Amino acid sequence: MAQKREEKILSVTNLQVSFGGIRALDGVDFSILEGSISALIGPNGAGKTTVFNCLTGFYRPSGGSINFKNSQGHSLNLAALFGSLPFSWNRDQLSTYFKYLPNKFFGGTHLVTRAGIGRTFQNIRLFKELSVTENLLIAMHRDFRGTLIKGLFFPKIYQQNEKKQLSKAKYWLERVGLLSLANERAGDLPYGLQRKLEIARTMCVNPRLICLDEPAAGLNPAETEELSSLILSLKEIDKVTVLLIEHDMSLVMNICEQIVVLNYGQVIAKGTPEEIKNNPKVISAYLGTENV
Amino acid sequence: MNAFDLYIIGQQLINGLVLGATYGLIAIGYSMVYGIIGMINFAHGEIYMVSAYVTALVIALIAYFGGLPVGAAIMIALLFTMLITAILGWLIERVAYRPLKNSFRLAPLISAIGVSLILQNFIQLAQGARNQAMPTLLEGVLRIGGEEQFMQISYHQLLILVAALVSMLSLNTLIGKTKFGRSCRATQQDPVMAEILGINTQKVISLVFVIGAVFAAIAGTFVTMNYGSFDFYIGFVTGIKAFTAAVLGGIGSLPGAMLGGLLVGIAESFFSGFVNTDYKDVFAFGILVLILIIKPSGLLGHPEVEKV
Repeated sequence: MAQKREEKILSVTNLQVSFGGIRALDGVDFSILEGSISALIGPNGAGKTTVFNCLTGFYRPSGGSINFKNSQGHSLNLAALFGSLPFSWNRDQLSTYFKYLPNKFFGGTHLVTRAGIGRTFQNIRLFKELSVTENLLIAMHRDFRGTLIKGLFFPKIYQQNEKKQLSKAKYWLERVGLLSLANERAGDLPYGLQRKLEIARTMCVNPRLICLDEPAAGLNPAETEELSSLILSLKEIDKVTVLLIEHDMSLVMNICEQIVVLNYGQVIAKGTPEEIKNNPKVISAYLGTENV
Repeated sequence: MNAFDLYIIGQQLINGLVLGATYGLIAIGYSMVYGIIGMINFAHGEIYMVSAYVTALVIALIAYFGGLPVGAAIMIALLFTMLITAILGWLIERVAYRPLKNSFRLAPLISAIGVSLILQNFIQLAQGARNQAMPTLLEGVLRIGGEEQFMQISYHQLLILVAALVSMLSLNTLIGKTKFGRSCRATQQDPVMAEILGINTQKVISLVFVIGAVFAAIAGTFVTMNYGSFDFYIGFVTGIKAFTAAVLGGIGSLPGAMLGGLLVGIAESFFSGFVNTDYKDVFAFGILVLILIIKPSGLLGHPEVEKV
């Protein structure tokens, strides 16, 4: 068990992203251990969200690779999954290229859930017009796909599926304490509860890695406290690996085991909270330096 | 008001309802596509036109080989037309919309107009420019009233009303109750987030085009059987009317599309019955202008909220 903990679930090697002449990410290297809580921090514009966008297939890296360990324990190149693997004559890459060739035509960002990655955004992106429960049901789409045609002929299977989905939704609503608001319109919830609902919705895609982009933004101290216990419970109960971008340093220092610091698209430090706290490079990146 | 007038009013109402139901069925396609990608499918009227030709062909084939009761013939024609137009709807999305997804907003509209012209001209070349005729399949009318004063509804018209009602109700269930409907609504609100949660939005968009096309086919089949005459150009005027109906009811809203269709149909039939046949289109569009001045988002549409 202890050994399994040491396995890397995500390894990013030499990741490069450029927009025109600007290098948003310039050789980013880091890896995350399975079952850990890690944070990606850095000043504004350091490229944190760009890393997330590469993980979820919005950006196509101009170099480097992201490898993700899937549920069977195989290492999976995410670019291949999204169908954006560049063609090359390298023999190893060529076989992956042809294996994932269908994804070039039928692939897309929706395949992140197949890999087992869930994600939230900086701003709240709930489906405001839908009810709280429906928001969760949408996240279970992949688990219960292909039921429309089946449901036409075997209504019973369809109903059973609906029931399963509803009970799963209920479970998550209970976990985040929203059960009494299950039928409200999601857009009518107060801000703090919307944040919680978003995390619950992300968990409904059965992820093994969840990427939270500033989950504590706009929350008051009490709500932040609840959030950190929620994130810890995700790790303890659901055995999910958590990667978060956060500016609230007390939250980061309290719950994270590993911190990666980015600045100007490069990793300037990585390590435990203690190491990061005392790292002169990090301090200078955050506070600025006198001429060295 | 004497009974004679009432019967005439009733008759115009029936005509208007039937006309409106077909507009509504076509308007559904405009409204759904607009709801999900925020663009108008200008080739939609042509789907309706093609469905008229397919229906006539199937009926002609069935008549040639013979041996089928009328009800079965109608069902087969309907199902086959739905199948062909479904493929056509999928093709339009695949050819005219998907490759231009990331280009500027007007580009897909222009390519859709291109598809519309291609379809029109193809049918004109393949089937001839003249009016085509189709024999009446269901003889007979339902009469309400006495010997001299009555209103009547033919079995064909009745069929249109029933078909519109059934398909509207099933669409409502599909969108409101099923998993596919949920993913439609999610894609409509935030396609990026829907993708992250594992919904294949591309597939949803394709299916929406297909559903719109199938609804246009339902209208096309029954209207062709009712009127018995069509040409390669019917898609244009009917498409514009249905588009008007969709805007009138609030584009993006499905009950709105049906309501708008009924309103345009009834307005048209009353105006041509009591005032003037030549200016019926002017009247229908006049109502559109009036309602858009008073309520720019349409009757049942939500006003556009600026996203912060």
